[in-house]
Amino acid sequence: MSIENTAVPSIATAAAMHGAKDNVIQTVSDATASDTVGRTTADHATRSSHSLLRNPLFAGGLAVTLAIVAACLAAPLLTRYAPNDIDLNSLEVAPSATHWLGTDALGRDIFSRLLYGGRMSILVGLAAVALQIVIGVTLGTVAGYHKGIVDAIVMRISEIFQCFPFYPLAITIAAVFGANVWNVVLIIGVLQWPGLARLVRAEVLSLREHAFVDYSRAIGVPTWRILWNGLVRNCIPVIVVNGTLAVTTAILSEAALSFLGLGVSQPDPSWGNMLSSAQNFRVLSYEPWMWIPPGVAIALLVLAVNAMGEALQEHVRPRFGYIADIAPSHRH
Amino acid sequence: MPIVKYIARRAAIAVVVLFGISLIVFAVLNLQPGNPYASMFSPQTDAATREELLRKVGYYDPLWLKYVKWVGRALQGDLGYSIQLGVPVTAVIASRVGNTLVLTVAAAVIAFVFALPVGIYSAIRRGRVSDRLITVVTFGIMSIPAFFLAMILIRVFSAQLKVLPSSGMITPGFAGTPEQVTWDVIRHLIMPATVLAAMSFATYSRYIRSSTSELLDADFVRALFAKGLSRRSVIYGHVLKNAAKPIVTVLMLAVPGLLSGALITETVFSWSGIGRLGYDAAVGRDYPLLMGITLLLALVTLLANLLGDVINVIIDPRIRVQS
Amino acid sequence: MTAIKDLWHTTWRKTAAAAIAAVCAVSLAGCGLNTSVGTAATAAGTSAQSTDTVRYALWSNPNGQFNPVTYFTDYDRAIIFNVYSRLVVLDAQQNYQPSLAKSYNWSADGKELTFELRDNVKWHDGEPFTAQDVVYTYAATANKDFPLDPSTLVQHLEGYEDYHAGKTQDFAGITAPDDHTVVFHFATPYSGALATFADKPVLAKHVWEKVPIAQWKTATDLLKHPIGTGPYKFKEFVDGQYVALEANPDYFEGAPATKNLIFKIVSPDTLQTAVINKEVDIAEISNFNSKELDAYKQQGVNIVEGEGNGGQYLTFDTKNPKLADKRVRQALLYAINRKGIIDSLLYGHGITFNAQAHPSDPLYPKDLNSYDYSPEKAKELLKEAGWTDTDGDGFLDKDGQKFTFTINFPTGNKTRELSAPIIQKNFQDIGIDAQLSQADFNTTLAILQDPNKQYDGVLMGGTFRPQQYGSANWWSRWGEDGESKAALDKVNETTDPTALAQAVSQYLHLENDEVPFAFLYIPNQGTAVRPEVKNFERSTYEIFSNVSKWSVSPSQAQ
Repeated sequence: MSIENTAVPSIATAAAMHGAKDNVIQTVSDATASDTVGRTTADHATRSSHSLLRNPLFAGGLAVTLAIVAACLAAPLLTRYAPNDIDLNSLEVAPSATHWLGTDALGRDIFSRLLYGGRMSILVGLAAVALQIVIGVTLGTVAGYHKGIVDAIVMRISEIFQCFPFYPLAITIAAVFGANVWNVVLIIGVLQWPGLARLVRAEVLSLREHAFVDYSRAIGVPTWRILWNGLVRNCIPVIVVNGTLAVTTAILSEAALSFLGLGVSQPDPSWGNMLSSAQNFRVLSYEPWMWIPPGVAIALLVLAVNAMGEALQEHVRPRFGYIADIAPSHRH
Repeated sequence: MPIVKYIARRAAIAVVVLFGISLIVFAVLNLQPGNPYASMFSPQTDAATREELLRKVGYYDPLWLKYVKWVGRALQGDLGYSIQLGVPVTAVIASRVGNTLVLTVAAAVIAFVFALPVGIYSAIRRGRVSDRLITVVTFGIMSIPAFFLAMILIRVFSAQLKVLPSSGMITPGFAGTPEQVTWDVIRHLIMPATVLAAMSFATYSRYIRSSTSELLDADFVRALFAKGLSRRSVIYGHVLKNAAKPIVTVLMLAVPGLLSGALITETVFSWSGIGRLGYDAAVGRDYPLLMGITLLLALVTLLANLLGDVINVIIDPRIRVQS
Repeated sequence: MTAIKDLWHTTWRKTAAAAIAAVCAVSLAGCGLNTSVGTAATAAGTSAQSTDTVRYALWSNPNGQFNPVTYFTDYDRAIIFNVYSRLVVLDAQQNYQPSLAKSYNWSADGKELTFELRDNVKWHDGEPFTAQDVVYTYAATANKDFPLDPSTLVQHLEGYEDYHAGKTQDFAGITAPDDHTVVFHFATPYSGALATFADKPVLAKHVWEKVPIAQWKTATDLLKHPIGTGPYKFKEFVDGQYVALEANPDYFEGAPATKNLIFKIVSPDTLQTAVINKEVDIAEISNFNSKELDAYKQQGVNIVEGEGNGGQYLTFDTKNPKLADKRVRQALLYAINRKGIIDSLLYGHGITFNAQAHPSDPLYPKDLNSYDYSPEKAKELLKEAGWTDTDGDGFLDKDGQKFTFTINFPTGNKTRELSAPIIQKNFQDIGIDAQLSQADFNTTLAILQDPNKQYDGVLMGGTFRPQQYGSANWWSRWGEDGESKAALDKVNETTDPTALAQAVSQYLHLENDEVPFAFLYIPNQGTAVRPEVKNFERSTYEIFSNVSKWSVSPSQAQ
C-alpha cells in the first residue's frame, strides 16, 4: 500500500492532523531538539536490527517470506518437472506421489508451476517497486527541493496519476500494449509512483528548511550531493517502509492482471494466470488442487510481507505507528 | 469569501488534471499499431474496401486532429459511438452507471459498518492482545486476492450450498412485486458486494484506528482525562465527535479504490456495471468507450476529492489558512 | 456525530441490518438500477417452475445489433434468427428448404435465381410482408453508404458496379415482378448464393427506410427493437442480463408452443451451475470433461451432442519465404498431434478435417490425405526442403538461418488457448524453435489484415458455411492467384450439380495438398437441456430450426 496512494494533495493537507506531514514535522522537531538532522537516522539505526527481529510480526513475516523465496529459487532442486512440460496422458490428475499437487489441463505439474510461478510473482513485485522508487524518489526530491513551478508541475502530474482508479487504466494499457511480464512491471511502476513521490517530497520540503542545506550550499557542495546526502538518505526509512508495502500491492496487481488474462501470458506460469484457469465451475467444484495452491500462495506471501512492513513501520515511527494508514487505498 | 475562492481554485486544478488524464488515455490508445476496427472486416474484404471504410470512420486522421475532434465533441457532451455496440458512448455508460453505483454503495456501507466499530475498538485497545488480533485478521483479509475470495464464495455458496446465484444481477424474466424484485437483486448483490467490501474493509478500519488513536494522544484529550472525566464520556463525547473529519476523508478517498475494485468484482460476477464494461471495452479495443469510461471514473474521483475538501473546510475552517 | 455515537452503541446484528436496509433503500429508490422488469412475464414468483418460458443461455452479451445484415456476433445472431426469418433454411441433410419463400428456382444457365414468396406473412407490427422487403434488404448491402463491406453475393449481381458507385437509383440485379416474386440476376453465376440467403434474414423495408443506410449500425432505437417475421417477437433487451422474446401467434409455420423465450447471459464459467440450479433450461456447453458431463447427468440434465460447424486452424503465411515451400507446410501439419489435441482438450468429442470444408459436406472428397501425426514424416519432408540441424544446437537450420516459428493466437477461446502450447511442443519436437505470442482478438486479426505484415502462423477459428468453399470466411494468403484462384472461381461459377461436385473435389484436393492452413479440429457441439424441456432438436447449422416446438413440462421432483 503506497502511502497516500489515491490521495490528492489538498486532502493530504486537509488531513494534516492525521497525515504524513505531522509525522514529518514530528521527526523534524525531534531533530531540531537534538540539533542535527543526521541524528534522526542514527536514532533509527541504533534501535538495532535485532530489536526488529525480536518483533514476532517481523520475524514471522521474514521467515515465511524467505521460505517462499528460497523454495521458488530452488525450484529445480525441489521438482523434477519443468513447469511447461505438457503431458497429454495425465490431464487434470489429482495430487499423488508422482504429482504432489496434481496436474493442470495440459498435464503440467502444478507444484512445479507453483514454484516457477512464484519466481514470476516475486520478480514482478520487486521490479515494479524498484521502478516506482526510482521514479518516485527522483521526482519527489526534485519537487521538494526546487519548490515553485517545478513542484507544481510534478504535483499536478502525480495528481493525474493518482486520480485514476488503478485497474481501469492498467487493463487499458495492458490490452493496448500486450500482455507480458515487462509490461506488467511497467504498468505497476508507472501508475503507482506518486504515493512515494509525495512522501519523499514532504520529507524533503521540511528538511530543506534546515540550516545544513544552507551551510552546504554556502560552502559550495554540489546540489546533487546535497540532495543525495542530506535529503534522500533521510528519506530511507520512509522509502523502505513504503517499498515493502508496495511490493504486496505489486504482487496482488500482477495476480489480478494475469487473472484477467492481461498479465503474464501462456505458457509461462504465474500465480495469477494459474488461478485464471480455474475460473470454471468444474475446476472450482471438483479440482481444488488447480486453484487453491496459487491462491493460498499469493495470500501467504502478501500476508508475510505485509507483516514485515507493518513491523518496520512501527520500528521507524514508534510514536505514531501507521504511516500507511494515512490515506486509504486499494490493494486489489 | 475565502471559501468560494478556495473551492474555485480546487475546481480549476481539477479541470487541468482532467485534461491531462484525457491526453494520457488518448495517447495510450492511439499510439499503438493495432486497429480497433479490425473485427469489422471479414477475410473476404479487400484492401481497398477496408481503406474506404476506415477513412469514413476517421481512422487515418492525424493524431492531433483526432484529439482536437474528440475534445470538441466531448465538450458538447458527445463522446462518440462505441465501436462494438454502435451506440452513443454516453448512452451505454448511462445505462450501466446505476448498477455500479448500487454495488459500490452497498460495498462501502458494508465495509464501513464493520470498519467503524473495529477501528475505534482497536484504537482504544491499542497495543493489547485484542488489537493485535484484529491487526492480524485485518491483514489476513487484506492479503487475499479479491478474485480468489470471489472464487471461494462462488464455490461455497453457489456450487456447494446452492443458496446464492453465481452471477448476474437479476433472475431473467423475473417478475413480481417491487419487494420481490428488490430481494432478488439483493440475492445477486450479496457476493459481489461482500468481495468489494472485503477489499475496502482493511483500509477503512486501519485508517479509523490510526486517526482515533491520534486523537486519543491529542493534548485536548489528555487534558480531558486530566480533568477527571470518565474514559467513557471522553471517548463517546469528544473523541468520536472529532473523528468525523477523518471519516469524511476516508469516505471520499475510498472512491477510486471502490471503482477500481468494482472492475474485478463485476468481471468475476458478471455484474453489468461500468467496471465490466471497461474490461470488455479494453479487451475488445473499443476506444471511444474506453475513453468515456476512464474519463468518467477520473471525473468522479476528482469530484469526490473536491467534495472531501469542501466538507473538511466546512468542518474545520483552519484549513483555509493553510491553503 | 450522533449518528456515529448511535452506530457505536448498536449491536452487530443491528449494524448488519442497517447495511442491508441501506442497500434496499438504494435499489428500491432505483438509482438508475438497470433491471427493468418484464411486465408481460406471467405470474409473480420465480419463473423456474413456469411452463410458459424457455430460458436459453448466451455465453456473452449481444451487442444489440439486431439487424440481420449488420450484426457481428453469434449472440446477436441467436436473437436475430428467432425474430427474423430467412428465404431458405438448411435441413438436417444440409439441403436448402424454402422458408419465407414458398419455392426457389435456378435458371438453366445459373444466372437467374427466382423466389416465390409466401403470401399472408405479416411483420410483427402487422404490416404485410412483400417482395419489396426482400429487394430492399439485399440491395441495401450493395449501397455505397452501407457501413460494412458488400457481400460476395451482391458483387456477383448484374449492375452492381453502377449501383454501388451511386450511378443508378435501382439495382438491376434484384427485381420484383410482382408482390410475391423476387428474381436475382447474376452477371456471373454464383453457387454460394443460397448460403447467403440462409444466413441473412430479410428485414422490413417500411421500418428501415426511415433511417439513412449510412446510419444503420448506429440507429440504436431500431436496432434494439427489431421487427421481424420470425416465430418470436422481440420484447426487451436488458443490457448485460437477458433478452426476452415473446411468441408470435401469427407465425407462418404456426404459433410457437412456448410463450416466452428468454436468452440469459451466462458466462461459460458458471454455466453448469446455472443449468443445474434451473437458472436456464438450455445451454451450449463449453467442454466435454467427463466430470462435468456426469454432474449434468446426475441432475437429470440431457446432453444433446452433434457435430460442430466451426473449425479451428493454424493459418500459414504462404508468402513468407520460409513457408513458401509446400513441403514445409505439409511437414508442419504432420508434426501436429491433432488427435492428441482432440483427445485431451476435447475429451475425444471432435473430428479432424483436411480441407476447408466440413467432412459431412456431401461434396467433401473421401480420399484426401489425412496427414496422420508423424514427426518422422515431418522431419523427412523438412530435410527434403533443405532444413537440417547442421550446427548441432537442436534446432533445424538452412543457409545459416535457424527455423523459428511464432504461433500467434488470440485470447477468448479456452480450447484454442490451450492448444497453442501443445502445437508449440509438437514443433519443438521436430527441431523448430517455436514461440507463443498471445494477444487480444483485434490485435491478432490486425496481423492478418495487414498485407505487408509477415507472420509464421496464426491460430484462428472459422465457421463452415454449407456449400461455400474457398476462404470466404477463413484467413489465408493463399488462393489469391494462379491455379488455386482458377480452381475456386470454377467452384463459384458452377451451378450444375455434377459439374459442381467435380469442381469442388478438384479445389479441395489442391488445398489438401498445398496446406495453406494446418486444419486442426472441429469440436462437437454439446447442448445441455434440462429434463423439463421437450422437443429440443438441432442440426449442425441450425440451432433454432425447431424453436417453435420447444416446450416445458411441469418441473419434476428431484
